[in-house]
Amino acid sequence: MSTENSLNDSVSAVYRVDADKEILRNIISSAEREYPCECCGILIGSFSENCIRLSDAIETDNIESTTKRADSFLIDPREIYECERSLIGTGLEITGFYHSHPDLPAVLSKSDEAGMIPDQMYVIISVCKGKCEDITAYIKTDEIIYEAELRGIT
Amino acid sequence: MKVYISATLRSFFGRSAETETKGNTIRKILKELTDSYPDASRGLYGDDGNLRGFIRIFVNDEDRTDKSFLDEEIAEGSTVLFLPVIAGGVPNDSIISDERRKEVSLDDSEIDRFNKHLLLREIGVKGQKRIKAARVCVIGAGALGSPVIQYLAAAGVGTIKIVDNDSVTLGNLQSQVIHSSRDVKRPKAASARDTVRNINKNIEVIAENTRVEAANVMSVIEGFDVVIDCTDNYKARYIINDACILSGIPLVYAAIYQYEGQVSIFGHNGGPCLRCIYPEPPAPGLVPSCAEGGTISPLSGIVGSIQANEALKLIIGIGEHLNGRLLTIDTLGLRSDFLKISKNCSCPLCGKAPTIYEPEDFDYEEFCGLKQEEDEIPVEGYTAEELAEKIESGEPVTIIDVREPHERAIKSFPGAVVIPIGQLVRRMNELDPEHDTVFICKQGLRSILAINTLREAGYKGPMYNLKGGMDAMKDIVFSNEAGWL
Repeated sequence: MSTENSLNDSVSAVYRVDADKEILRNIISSAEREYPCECCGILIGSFSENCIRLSDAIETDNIESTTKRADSFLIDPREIYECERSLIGTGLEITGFYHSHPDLPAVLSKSDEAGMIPDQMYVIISVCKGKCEDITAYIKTDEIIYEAELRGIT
Repeated sequence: MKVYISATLRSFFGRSAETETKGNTIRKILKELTDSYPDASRGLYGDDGNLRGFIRIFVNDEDRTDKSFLDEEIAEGSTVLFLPVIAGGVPNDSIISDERRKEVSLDDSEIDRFNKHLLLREIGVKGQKRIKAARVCVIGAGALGSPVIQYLAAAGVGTIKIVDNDSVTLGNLQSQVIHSSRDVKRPKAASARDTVRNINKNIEVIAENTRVEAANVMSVIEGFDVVIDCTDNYKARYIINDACILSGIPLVYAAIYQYEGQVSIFGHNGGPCLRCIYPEPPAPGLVPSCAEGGTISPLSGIVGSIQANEALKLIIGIGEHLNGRLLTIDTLGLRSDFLKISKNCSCPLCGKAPTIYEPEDFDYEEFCGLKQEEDEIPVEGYTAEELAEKIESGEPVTIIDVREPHERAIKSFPGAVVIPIGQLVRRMNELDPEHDTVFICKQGLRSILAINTLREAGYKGPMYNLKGGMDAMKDIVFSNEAGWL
């Protein structure tokens, strides 16, 4: 237990996500709006050494919620492709994805972990009874998942 | 062929967005990519050799990820896209794996039967399949077992094992609602099995007319997803707790007494166990079992229903569990509370240096000093008949009743002096060492403890135990009442 804690402590200092407060507010309000379904979206920004600077978030359709049940999400790969094409020449790129956990903690689920693309940031918003309770960020590098420090900047 | 690789996957492909490949099937393209980029195969394939789950291959806007398209020829001038699929779900702590869930299916009648579950967002078809795939072992088909077994059966648990070695008595029917008048004298396990079959004949019921002991408990619970302790005595509780922790099977524990009950979950996700709270069971005789203490009829229904609910939550993987918490319910004051239970690092079972490696068939009588050792003076006793004779003959004899007030209220012993065990030594001078003194309790165990306590305190007078306690006395009290009074 103690080794796990110290590992987490040391890595949360290693990875950092800086996001405009405005972006975080948008993500949270879309999570609260979609409650009790899961919301999801694409995070756009730039990578630098151990830090991701978020400059935009694009809400996407949760194509799972319309066809199946509300406890999972799926972003259409073609929507990601369109987004990538639109970013050409802007100097920005896709840096990660966000989704919400209605009435559950903001930790990675087994299916979240299984679908993690290396070096992409995963932001999770816990929405309890319609209100955001917690927001966390994770990144997988070299098969290890780290919790990153998420900071709102103005 | 033009191949586009999403930026999110590019770390494996030297960060190039577009490449040209010669191959005209997906298999050939994949081969070329892994040949040109050394990191690509690590990025594309998982340890099992299959394409990673988050990769989708599109050919001209059509998803061709499935293996069946591997060798399909791609038309000249098409664009092949390697895109990520971003998917996930809510955290799910179900004790039933996705693989097992996927092995079961629901037929039309089940969709009808479990409609109220399917309507719940948190349960739905996935949750109901987990319930169907679940294997639950219920130990004890008595007061707690009655609601537990019936609700699990009604909820659709696929396999239910019922373990009990008792038979139904008339007195059981006050709280054991799984049995009915016609079941009196039948084994409880068989009676409970029949009730389950009446609820849903598709449930696999395993009825075992056995007493759970250290020697068999491991095999009794083997292969089950969750064990529900519905027993009424400490010996069984400790054996079940030990076996569950050692086998890594979560345990839904409960106990009831008079108007109060408690429920908890032990051994789930590395949580605490019964021995983390109480490393050793209390001395028998000191704590009246449910059979001695009595309970109000609906209490077992309330507490057992919570047990069934907790078990279902573990199976479906939803909600807040009682893991690390003990729920206490007082039905008289109508209050409930949570006590936080922490994992005890010096727990003899699940602590850092455990001393228990197999279920202990501890000798309960030896454990609490009731067993007479070689050099100890044995406790002499009378049978119910002998005591009745002695009283009728008019011999001077002092009767000391060590039972609790509520037990005496059921049937008092005429002329007995009432001294609770805790006050015995202090009130020793109320006894006459010149005359015989007979100690009575409900079952003849606490009275032995009373005699040993007084002996240790230095009382020299002759002391006798009523063998079998008031339970053995009951026929005599009524049939010879005149001779007694």
